[in-house]
Amino acid sequence: MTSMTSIAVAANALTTPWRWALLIACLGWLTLVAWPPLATAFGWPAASLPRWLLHPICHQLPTRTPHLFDEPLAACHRCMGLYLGFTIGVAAWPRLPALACKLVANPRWVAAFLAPLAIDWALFANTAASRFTTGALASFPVALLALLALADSNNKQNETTELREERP
Amino acid sequence: MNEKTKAALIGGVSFGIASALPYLEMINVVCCALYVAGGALASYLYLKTLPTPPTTAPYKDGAVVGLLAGVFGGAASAVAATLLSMAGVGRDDAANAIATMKQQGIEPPSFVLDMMGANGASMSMFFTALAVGVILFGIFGTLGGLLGVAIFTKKDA
Repeated sequence: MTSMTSIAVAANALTTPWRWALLIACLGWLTLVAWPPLATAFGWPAASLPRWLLHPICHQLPTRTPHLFDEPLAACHRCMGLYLGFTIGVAAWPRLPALACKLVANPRWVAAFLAPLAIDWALFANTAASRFTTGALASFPVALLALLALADSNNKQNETTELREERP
Repeated sequence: MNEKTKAALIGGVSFGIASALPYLEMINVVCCALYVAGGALASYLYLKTLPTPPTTAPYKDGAVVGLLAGVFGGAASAVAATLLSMAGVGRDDAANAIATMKQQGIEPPSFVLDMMGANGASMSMFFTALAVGVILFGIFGTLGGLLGVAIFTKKDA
Protein backbone atom coordinates (compact mmCIF):
# COMPACT_ATOMS: atom_id res chain seq x y z
CA MET A 1 0.00 0.00 0.00
CA THR A 2 1.29 3.46 -0.81
CA SER A 3 2.26 5.24 2.39
CA MET A 4 1.22 8.77 3.31
CA THR A 5 4.92 9.75 3.30
CA SER A 6 5.42 8.69 -0.30
CA ILE A 7 2.26 10.56 -1.32
CA ALA A 8 3.61 13.71 0.33
CA VAL A 9 6.96 13.21 -1.41
CA ALA A 10 5.17 12.75 -4.75
CA ALA A 11 3.17 15.91 -4.27
CA ASN A 12 6.37 17.82 -3.47
CA ALA A 13 8.43 16.36 -6.31
CA LEU A 14 5.77 17.13 -8.91
CA THR A 15 5.44 20.76 -7.90
CA THR A 16 8.67 21.83 -9.62
CA PRO A 17 8.45 25.50 -10.71
CA TRP A 18 9.30 24.36 -14.25
CA ARG A 19 5.83 22.84 -14.50
CA TRP A 20 4.47 26.34 -14.98
CA ALA A 21 6.75 26.81 -17.99
CA LEU A 22 5.54 23.48 -19.38
CA LEU A 23 1.92 24.47 -18.76
CA ILE A 24 2.43 27.82 -20.53
CA ALA A 25 4.06 26.00 -23.47
CA CYS A 26 1.07 23.62 -23.64
CA LEU A 27 -1.39 26.53 -23.58
CA GLY A 28 0.67 28.23 -26.29
CA TRP A 29 0.42 25.06 -28.39
CA LEU A 30 -3.35 24.93 -27.91
CA THR A 31 -3.57 28.59 -28.94
CA LEU A 32 -1.59 27.78 -32.09
CA VAL A 33 -4.07 24.99 -32.91
CA ALA A 34 -7.07 27.28 -32.29
CA TRP A 35 -5.49 30.25 -34.10
CA PRO A 36 -6.97 29.76 -37.62
CA PRO A 37 -10.66 30.13 -36.65
CA LEU A 38 -9.89 32.81 -34.05
CA ALA A 39 -7.83 34.82 -36.53
CA THR A 40 -10.51 34.51 -39.19
CA ALA A 41 -13.30 35.52 -36.80
CA PHE A 42 -11.48 38.52 -35.30
CA GLY A 43 -9.43 39.61 -38.31
CA TRP A 44 -6.06 38.70 -36.79
CA PRO A 45 -3.10 38.00 -39.08
CA ALA A 46 -1.59 34.69 -40.28
CA ALA A 47 -4.80 32.69 -40.08
CA SER A 48 -3.49 29.81 -42.19
CA LEU A 49 0.07 29.72 -40.81
CA PRO A 50 -0.61 27.14 -38.05
CA ARG A 51 -2.23 24.82 -40.58
CA TRP A 52 0.89 24.94 -42.71
CA LEU A 53 3.18 24.49 -39.70
CA LEU A 54 1.24 21.52 -38.33
CA HIS A 55 0.48 19.73 -41.62
CA PRO A 56 3.40 17.26 -41.21
CA ILE A 57 1.87 15.88 -38.00
CA CYS A 58 -1.88 15.97 -38.65
CA HIS A 59 -4.08 15.37 -41.70
CA GLN A 60 -6.40 18.27 -40.65
CA LEU A 61 -9.28 16.88 -42.72
CA PRO A 62 -12.21 19.26 -42.11
CA THR A 63 -14.64 16.33 -41.69
CA ARG A 64 -12.52 14.89 -38.84
CA THR A 65 -11.54 18.17 -37.19
CA PRO A 66 -13.29 20.17 -34.44
CA HIS A 67 -14.75 23.49 -35.59
CA LEU A 68 -14.81 26.87 -33.89
CA PHE A 69 -16.89 29.70 -35.38
CA ASP A 70 -17.68 27.29 -38.26
CA GLU A 71 -13.95 27.05 -39.12
CA PRO A 72 -11.81 23.93 -38.60
CA LEU A 73 -8.99 24.02 -36.04
CA ALA A 74 -5.43 23.14 -37.10
CA ALA A 75 -5.62 19.65 -35.56
CA CYS A 76 -8.02 16.71 -35.85
CA HIS A 77 -10.20 15.35 -33.01
CA ARG A 78 -7.60 12.76 -31.99
CA CYS A 79 -4.71 15.24 -31.96
CA MET A 80 -6.84 17.75 -30.03
CA GLY A 81 -7.53 15.02 -27.47
CA LEU A 82 -3.82 14.29 -27.21
CA TYR A 83 -2.91 17.95 -26.73
CA LEU A 84 -5.71 18.66 -24.27
CA GLY A 85 -5.09 15.47 -22.28
CA PHE A 86 -1.41 16.32 -21.91
CA THR A 87 -2.20 19.90 -20.85
CA ILE A 88 -4.77 18.75 -18.29
CA GLY A 89 -2.22 16.18 -17.08
CA VAL A 90 0.44 18.84 -16.50
CA ALA A 91 -2.06 20.84 -14.44
CA ALA A 92 -3.63 17.89 -12.62
CA TRP A 93 -0.84 15.41 -11.73
CA PRO A 94 0.59 17.52 -8.84
CA ARG A 95 -2.91 17.36 -7.32
CA LEU A 96 -3.15 13.58 -7.73
CA PRO A 97 -0.10 12.38 -5.75
CA ALA A 98 -1.60 9.04 -4.69
CA LEU A 99 -2.39 8.09 -8.29
CA ALA A 100 1.03 9.41 -9.39
CA CYS A 101 2.71 7.10 -6.84
CA LYS A 102 0.93 4.08 -8.29
CA LEU A 103 1.85 4.95 -11.87
CA VAL A 104 5.47 5.77 -10.99
CA ALA A 105 5.77 2.39 -9.28
CA ASN A 106 4.54 0.68 -12.47
CA PRO A 107 5.52 3.00 -15.34
CA ARG A 108 4.73 0.36 -17.98
CA TRP A 109 1.06 0.97 -17.23
CA VAL A 110 1.45 4.07 -19.38
CA ALA A 111 1.37 1.74 -22.39
CA ALA A 112 -2.07 0.47 -21.29
CA PHE A 113 -3.44 4.01 -21.66
CA LEU A 114 -2.31 3.97 -25.30
CA ALA A 115 -4.24 0.78 -26.08
CA PRO A 116 -7.73 2.37 -26.43
CA LEU A 117 -6.29 4.89 -28.91
CA ALA A 118 -4.75 2.10 -30.99
CA ILE A 119 -7.99 0.09 -30.93
CA ASP A 120 -10.08 3.14 -31.81
CA TRP A 121 -7.70 3.98 -34.68
CA ALA A 122 -8.06 0.45 -36.04
CA LEU A 123 -11.88 0.67 -35.97
CA PHE A 124 -13.59 2.02 -39.06
CA ALA A 125 -16.66 2.96 -37.04
CA ASN A 126 -14.97 5.38 -34.65
CA THR A 127 -16.62 8.69 -33.84
CA ALA A 128 -15.40 12.21 -33.11
CA ALA A 129 -16.05 11.61 -29.41
CA SER A 130 -14.17 8.29 -29.34
CA ARG A 131 -11.19 9.75 -31.20
CA PHE A 132 -11.04 12.75 -28.87
CA THR A 133 -11.53 10.73 -25.66
CA THR A 134 -8.99 8.02 -26.48
CA GLY A 135 -6.48 10.70 -27.49
CA ALA A 136 -6.92 12.54 -24.19
CA LEU A 137 -6.67 9.28 -22.24
CA ALA A 138 -3.44 8.32 -24.02
CA SER A 139 -1.59 11.56 -23.34
CA PHE A 140 -2.77 12.22 -19.80
CA PRO A 141 -0.22 9.85 -18.13
CA VAL A 142 2.59 11.01 -20.44
CA ALA A 143 2.35 14.41 -18.74
CA LEU A 144 3.42 12.71 -15.49
CA LEU A 145 6.61 11.44 -17.19
CA ALA A 146 7.37 14.96 -18.39
CA LEU A 147 6.86 16.32 -14.87
CA LEU A 148 9.18 13.64 -13.45
CA ALA A 149 11.87 14.59 -16.00
CA LEU A 150 11.51 18.24 -14.99
CA ALA A 151 11.68 17.30 -11.31
CA ASP A 152 14.88 15.33 -12.02
CA SER A 153 16.51 18.33 -13.63
CA ASN A 154 15.34 20.68 -10.89
CA ASN A 155 17.57 19.30 -8.13
CA LYS A 156 14.71 17.28 -6.76
CA GLN A 157 16.53 14.08 -7.61
CA ASN A 158 16.44 12.85 -4.03
CA GLU A 159 12.72 13.32 -3.76
CA THR A 160 11.91 11.60 -7.06
CA THR A 161 14.30 8.78 -6.21
CA GLU A 162 12.62 8.36 -2.85
CA LEU A 163 9.25 8.45 -4.56
CA ARG A 164 10.20 5.67 -6.99
CA GLU A 165 11.71 3.55 -4.24
CA GLU A 166 8.41 3.61 -2.33
CA ARG A 167 6.92 0.69 -4.19
CA PRO A 168 4.00 -1.39 -3.11
CA MET B 1 30.71 10.37 -29.37
CA ASN B 2 28.95 9.51 -26.11
CA GLU B 3 26.31 6.83 -25.73
CA LYS B 4 23.39 9.28 -25.60
CA THR B 5 24.39 10.90 -28.90
CA LYS B 6 24.99 7.53 -30.56
CA ALA B 7 21.58 6.19 -29.48
CA ALA B 8 19.90 9.44 -30.55
CA LEU B 9 21.59 9.35 -33.96
CA ILE B 10 20.46 5.79 -34.67
CA GLY B 11 16.88 6.33 -33.43
CA GLY B 12 16.49 9.78 -34.94
CA VAL B 13 18.08 9.25 -38.35
CA SER B 14 16.38 5.88 -39.00
CA PHE B 15 12.89 7.21 -38.23
CA GLY B 16 13.70 10.59 -39.83
CA ILE B 17 14.46 8.90 -43.14
CA ALA B 18 11.35 6.72 -42.74
CA SER B 19 9.32 9.94 -42.34
CA ALA B 20 10.53 11.13 -45.75
CA LEU B 21 9.76 7.94 -47.65
CA PRO B 22 6.60 7.77 -49.75
CA TYR B 23 3.68 5.94 -48.06
CA LEU B 24 5.73 5.26 -44.90
CA GLU B 25 5.50 8.98 -44.08
CA MET B 26 1.71 8.56 -43.75
CA ILE B 27 2.31 6.78 -40.42
CA ASN B 28 3.10 10.21 -38.96
CA VAL B 29 -0.51 11.21 -39.48
CA VAL B 30 -1.32 8.71 -36.71
CA CYS B 31 -0.33 10.86 -33.73
CA CYS B 32 3.19 11.54 -35.06
CA ALA B 33 3.95 7.85 -34.57
CA LEU B 34 7.30 7.87 -36.39
CA TYR B 35 8.55 10.88 -34.43
CA VAL B 36 7.54 9.28 -31.13
CA ALA B 37 8.95 5.89 -32.16
CA GLY B 38 12.32 7.49 -33.02
CA GLY B 39 12.60 8.91 -29.51
CA ALA B 40 11.47 5.62 -27.95
CA LEU B 41 14.03 3.62 -29.96
CA ALA B 42 16.78 6.05 -28.91
CA SER B 43 15.78 5.61 -25.25
CA TYR B 44 15.79 1.83 -25.62
CA LEU B 45 19.26 1.85 -27.20
CA TYR B 46 20.54 4.21 -24.50
CA LEU B 47 19.17 2.02 -21.69
CA LYS B 48 20.84 -1.00 -23.30
CA THR B 49 24.23 0.69 -23.22
CA LEU B 50 24.16 1.36 -19.48
CA PRO B 51 26.66 -0.97 -17.77
CA THR B 52 24.32 -1.59 -14.83
CA PRO B 53 20.53 -1.23 -14.86
CA PRO B 54 19.59 2.16 -13.42
CA THR B 55 18.31 2.19 -9.84
CA THR B 56 15.49 4.49 -10.92
CA ALA B 57 13.89 5.14 -14.31
CA PRO B 58 16.08 7.90 -15.81
CA TYR B 59 13.33 10.19 -17.14
CA LYS B 60 15.64 13.17 -17.53
CA ASP B 61 18.09 11.14 -19.64
CA GLY B 62 15.18 9.74 -21.66
CA ALA B 63 13.93 13.24 -22.39
CA VAL B 64 17.41 14.41 -23.45
CA VAL B 65 18.02 11.37 -25.67
CA GLY B 66 14.53 11.74 -27.20
CA LEU B 67 15.08 15.45 -27.85
CA LEU B 68 18.43 14.75 -29.53
CA ALA B 69 16.84 11.98 -31.60
CA GLY B 70 14.15 14.44 -32.65
CA VAL B 71 16.69 17.05 -33.72
CA PHE B 72 18.67 14.48 -35.75
CA GLY B 73 15.45 12.99 -37.12
CA GLY B 74 14.05 16.35 -38.19
CA ALA B 75 17.26 17.19 -40.02
CA ALA B 76 17.49 13.74 -41.63
CA SER B 77 13.85 13.93 -42.71
CA ALA B 78 14.26 17.36 -44.34
CA VAL B 79 17.46 16.34 -46.17
CA ALA B 80 16.06 12.97 -47.30
CA ALA B 81 12.78 14.53 -48.49
CA THR B 82 14.67 17.16 -50.49
CA LEU B 83 16.98 14.60 -52.09
CA LEU B 84 14.07 12.29 -52.95
CA SER B 85 12.09 15.21 -54.32
CA MET B 86 15.05 16.29 -56.49
CA ALA B 87 15.35 12.71 -57.76
CA GLY B 88 11.69 12.80 -58.70
CA VAL B 89 10.78 10.21 -56.07
CA GLY B 90 8.58 10.84 -53.08
CA ARG B 91 6.91 13.93 -51.86
CA ASP B 92 7.11 17.60 -52.57
CA ASP B 93 5.88 18.29 -49.09
CA ALA B 94 5.31 22.02 -49.30
CA ALA B 95 3.60 21.82 -52.68
CA ASN B 96 1.39 18.97 -51.46
CA ALA B 97 0.43 20.90 -48.33
CA ILE B 98 -0.45 23.98 -50.35
CA ALA B 99 -2.48 21.94 -52.85
CA THR B 100 -4.39 20.32 -49.96
CA MET B 101 -5.05 23.68 -48.33
CA LYS B 102 -6.37 25.10 -51.59
CA GLN B 103 -8.63 22.04 -52.01
CA GLN B 104 -10.04 22.77 -48.57
CA GLY B 105 -10.67 26.39 -49.53
CA ILE B 106 -7.88 27.71 -47.29
CA GLU B 107 -5.56 30.39 -48.59
CA PRO B 108 -1.91 29.31 -47.94
CA PRO B 109 0.35 31.78 -46.06
CA SER B 110 1.67 34.34 -48.54
CA PHE B 111 5.27 34.09 -47.30
CA VAL B 112 5.26 30.37 -48.11
CA LEU B 113 4.14 31.09 -51.66
CA ASP B 114 6.80 33.80 -51.92
CA MET B 115 9.52 31.40 -50.76
CA MET B 116 8.59 28.72 -53.24
CA GLY B 117 10.51 28.79 -56.46
CA ALA B 118 9.05 28.34 -59.90
CA ASN B 119 9.07 24.55 -59.55
CA GLY B 120 7.93 24.49 -55.95
CA ALA B 121 11.27 24.40 -54.16
CA SER B 122 13.96 26.83 -53.03
CA MET B 123 16.76 27.06 -50.50
CA SER B 124 14.70 29.23 -48.13
CA MET B 125 11.89 26.67 -48.39
CA PHE B 126 14.36 23.91 -47.47
CA PHE B 127 15.62 25.79 -44.42
CA THR B 128 12.08 26.58 -43.29
CA ALA B 129 11.12 22.91 -43.64
CA LEU B 130 14.29 21.99 -41.76
CA ALA B 131 13.48 24.34 -38.87
CA VAL B 132 9.85 23.20 -38.66
CA GLY B 133 10.92 19.54 -38.88
CA VAL B 134 13.54 19.89 -36.14
CA ILE B 135 11.09 21.64 -33.79
CA LEU B 136 8.20 19.19 -34.37
CA PHE B 137 10.46 16.13 -34.32
CA GLY B 138 12.16 17.53 -31.19
CA ILE B 139 8.89 17.92 -29.28
CA PHE B 140 7.48 14.51 -30.17
CA GLY B 141 10.88 12.81 -29.95
CA THR B 142 11.16 14.04 -26.35
CA LEU B 143 7.78 12.49 -25.54
CA GLY B 144 8.90 9.29 -27.27
CA GLY B 145 12.08 9.26 -25.18
CA LEU B 146 10.02 9.56 -21.99
CA LEU B 147 7.68 6.77 -23.10
CA GLY B 148 10.70 4.63 -23.99
CA VAL B 149 12.15 5.01 -20.49
CA ALA B 150 8.79 4.21 -18.88
CA ILE B 151 8.29 1.09 -21.00
CA PHE B 152 11.83 -0.28 -21.34
CA THR B 153 13.25 0.29 -17.85
CA LYS B 154 13.35 -3.08 -16.10
CA LYS B 155 10.67 -3.55 -13.46
CA ASP B 156 13.14 -4.23 -10.64
CA ALA B 157 15.24 -1.18 -11.56
